[in-house]
Amino acid sequence: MSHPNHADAGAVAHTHPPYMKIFALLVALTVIEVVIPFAMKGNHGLAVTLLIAISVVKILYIARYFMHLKFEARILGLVACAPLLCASILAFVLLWEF
Amino acid sequence: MSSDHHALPHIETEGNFEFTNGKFAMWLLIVSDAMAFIGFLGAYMVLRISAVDQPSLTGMPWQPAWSLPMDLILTGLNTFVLICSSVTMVKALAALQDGNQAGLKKYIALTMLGGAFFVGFQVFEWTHFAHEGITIQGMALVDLDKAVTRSAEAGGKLTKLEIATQLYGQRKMDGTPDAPVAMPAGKTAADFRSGNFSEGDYLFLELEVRDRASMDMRPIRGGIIHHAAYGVPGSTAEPKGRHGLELRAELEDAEPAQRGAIMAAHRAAGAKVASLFCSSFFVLTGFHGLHVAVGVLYLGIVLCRAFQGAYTTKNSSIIEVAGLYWHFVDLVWVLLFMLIYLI
Repeated sequence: MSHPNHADAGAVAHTHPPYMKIFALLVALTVIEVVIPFAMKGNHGLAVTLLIAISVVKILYIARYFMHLKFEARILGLVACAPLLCASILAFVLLWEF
Repeated sequence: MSSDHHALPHIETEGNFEFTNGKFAMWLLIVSDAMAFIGFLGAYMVLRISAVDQPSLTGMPWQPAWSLPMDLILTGLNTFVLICSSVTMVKALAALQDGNQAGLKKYIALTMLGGAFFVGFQVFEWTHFAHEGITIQGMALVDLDKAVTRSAEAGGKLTKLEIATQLYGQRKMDGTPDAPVAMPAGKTAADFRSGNFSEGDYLFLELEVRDRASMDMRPIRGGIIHHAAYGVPGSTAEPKGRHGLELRAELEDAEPAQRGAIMAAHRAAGAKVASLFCSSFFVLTGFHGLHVAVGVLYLGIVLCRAFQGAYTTKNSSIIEVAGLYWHFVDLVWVLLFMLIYLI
């Protein structure tokens, strides 16, 4: 995990996650997201599926690298997943309505 | 490390991410905040899925697509700014971990700038919406001819009759022996099909609602705004608005030529049609925008402390915790942008 970073004279060397690569990925995914509604006007189902998939990828990268969940104790990851459980229950109950 | 602390697991980290109490507390805050957002998003999705194309007594309409003054490209750029601010935030932490105090201050200032720009753009967007008559209370009554022009500008091919149907609900135009319909004086069904009618004429027609249980078409007297009031919610002032039935009675009593003027007067008085879109859009973006604004203030305090030299490589987790909040706000926007603007 080496990447060019501004070198600071005399500072303790740390390895940082590849922030700029993830930034580039997030921007690229956002551009694709904005293009999808224009490019896939006729195929709403596929467009929605793609948009949701891209958002999930973006969220995973933000949580794992920017919020450092990838490098953290497992307990924090479990805490972070707690709302997902609640969201699933909410989704299940709401879908019941239709 | 002495062997009697066997309960403490060894944690692999990259860089130097400490597991502090502050970090755990911030994660708890994020998790509870996420549940609030999930509640709002769940409501948004249910409203959006259950919305119908046209107003009726059994279902509320979503905002007609042509009436939304959203600009996907501009909001996409704003999203880009928020992503940039997330990167400057991790850069600030990395700078501090490398012992680069100047970098820490620079990147925190840039993050604040990005956040402030984001909120500023949202204020601009809301102002633009309000200018178009779209507020949290609902959508302003639109002049039918103006609506037709706007729909054409947006690339739609809707006729005046279709727009009127979208805005005010489906109405009966043909009188049959079983369900007689009083046509407005001097108008025939052909006039309506060719677009030779006023808003008042259209509202005078019988509103037709499909009864869900029996699937019978039954005419119901009433009309627009039948699910909308246009007084200010929660205010003790006498509501200025009227419900559809009252409006219909007013139109019935008036001379046919006066109907257009009556509608114009209601429009000028700020009449609004309730809209599911308006209710959910402003709540969601407002709640998120508030979070960004709070984040900018939070970082402002952090920046002041940084200028006092409060942060070192030893307590870099304070910056990391501030970053957690900031990235969470960015993460929520990824979802909101996709669900509100793109889908």
